[in-house]
Amino acid sequence: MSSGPSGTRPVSGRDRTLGFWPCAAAFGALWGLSETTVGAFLHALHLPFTGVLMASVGAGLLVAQRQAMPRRGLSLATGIVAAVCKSMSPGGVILGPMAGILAESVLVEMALLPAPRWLVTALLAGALSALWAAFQKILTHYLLYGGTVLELYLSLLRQAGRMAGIPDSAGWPLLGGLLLCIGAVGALGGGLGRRIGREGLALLAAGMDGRAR
Amino acid sequence: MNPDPAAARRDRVLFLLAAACVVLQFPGSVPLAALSLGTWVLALARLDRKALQRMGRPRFWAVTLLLALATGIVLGPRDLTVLGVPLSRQGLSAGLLMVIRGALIFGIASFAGPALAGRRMSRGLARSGMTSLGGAATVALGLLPELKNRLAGPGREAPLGPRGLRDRVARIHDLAVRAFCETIRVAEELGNASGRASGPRIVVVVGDPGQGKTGLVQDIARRCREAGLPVAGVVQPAVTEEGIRVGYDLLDVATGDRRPFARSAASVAPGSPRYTFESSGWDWAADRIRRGRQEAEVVVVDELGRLEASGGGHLRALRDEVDGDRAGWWVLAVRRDGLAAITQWLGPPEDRIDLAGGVDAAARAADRIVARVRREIPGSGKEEWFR
Repeated sequence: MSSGPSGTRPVSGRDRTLGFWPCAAAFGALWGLSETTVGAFLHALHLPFTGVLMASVGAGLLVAQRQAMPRRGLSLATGIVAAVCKSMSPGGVILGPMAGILAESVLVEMALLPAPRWLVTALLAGALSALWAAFQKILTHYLLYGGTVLELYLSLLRQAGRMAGIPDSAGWPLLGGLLLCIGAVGALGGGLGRRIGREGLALLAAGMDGRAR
Repeated sequence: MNPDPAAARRDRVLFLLAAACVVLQFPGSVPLAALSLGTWVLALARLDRKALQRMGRPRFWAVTLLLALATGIVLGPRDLTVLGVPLSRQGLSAGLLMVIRGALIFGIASFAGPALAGRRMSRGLARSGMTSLGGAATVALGLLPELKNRLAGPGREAPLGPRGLRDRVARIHDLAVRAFCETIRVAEELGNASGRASGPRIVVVVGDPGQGKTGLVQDIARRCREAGLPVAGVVQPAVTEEGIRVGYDLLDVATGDRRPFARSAASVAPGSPRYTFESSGWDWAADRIRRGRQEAEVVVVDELGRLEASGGGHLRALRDEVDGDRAGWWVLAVRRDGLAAITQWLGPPEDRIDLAGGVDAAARAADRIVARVRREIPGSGKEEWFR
């Protein structure tokens, strides 16, 4: 039933008839819209872990999309489209968020590759996406300031640990715990995305999505 | 309607200079890094002042200076005292390099982000062989306002009265499900156009500006009319003064009515549109397109370009009218850089004439299309309609 991404032949997904590029365009626009509105608002508030939250939302959106159309490459195409939409965001510094969107879409694509509709892959996709958002901050600083900044961070962490009376051996478990929390937030996003996608498709199939048909 | 060649040249120069400045950073020497930053700032001051203004972000500078200071305090042996604070010369030198490097990369990003953004990026994708992806990105840019309106439409208002956390979570969940459903619906509407097997048949005349799209479309319209077929729609003949194009008019091919539409902008800043449009012209053209759809067998629409690729211009009228069950022929003149997206909005063309193949090939293709339209539309005896 499926055709390659270049084709325009309709593909069935949960009784919905969708095309690959229309689906990428529509969901890319939705992701871009959420990044330029909610994301920009949260960033403006300077709240911590905004990137992690938005990455979880993005992963959830991609997972929901794949419930309707489990085609390979769709998450990646959607990510590229969303990155282009994000580039229309007001303010000059857009390369970082765009790179983040692209990287998250690559990770979600890889996670969903074996089974796009499974809960396990949905959770993995969300977790990877959120962890990337946390890692991207460090990577951005490395690209901006060079390797010295990593030395600085490690040195500051060691000194802060000593001042707080935390032994050096407890550093890695603490870091692991923090990463676990971030991964859990992302996994929650992925899981919710799967649920939202399934509920939405059921509503559409029943004609109960609140719109006259 | 052409891209601004001066702005494109300026961007090329700045991209080359950015690459050179980044290369100068590699040795890790403070004088070389400072030289590259100074060169870049001077280049921006001369060629892109907006990018220079974007560099003035207080948060970035505060974080950068804090990190540099921390480097001077934390890293390396403390062999220097300033205001009673023990510092490291080695750390300060590394911190200074961090500030310079950070400022340069941030400055390059301040220029490169907007220079690559939006429609330029989707055009770049299309040019690099990813035509469908570039088209989808352009379509998505056009969908943004539509999607925003749909998601904020009726039925999305919050119920009145106090609510607990559980209710709020349930409401957010409900909104997410509705957003998903609406997006699926938008995708389906686009997919219906792409997968349309019958109904209106679209012929696109593809070319770059000045290649003769309007002339060819008018020729096809005239020959269809001579064959007794009712023809309607709008074309946009160029208006020239002393051999220079100064704008476009709108011409109703059915009645011959003509009105001014676009004129050269008085002053063209880099990146801004070259023409100013008379806004009522869009409604006038939409009305002609709608009437043509109801009354004619062949509807022509001229000069579909970047604006239409992003969901604006004549596309609004075309989306309403092309997507119907009444079979008919649409002859659309489409600029090459808008073709991928317009195809995704309206569906795949039945046939195409590419003016890149030369005038003779285009004329032969026009013959083929006119013959096909005549063969497939039993249009004899309708000659009175267009008179």
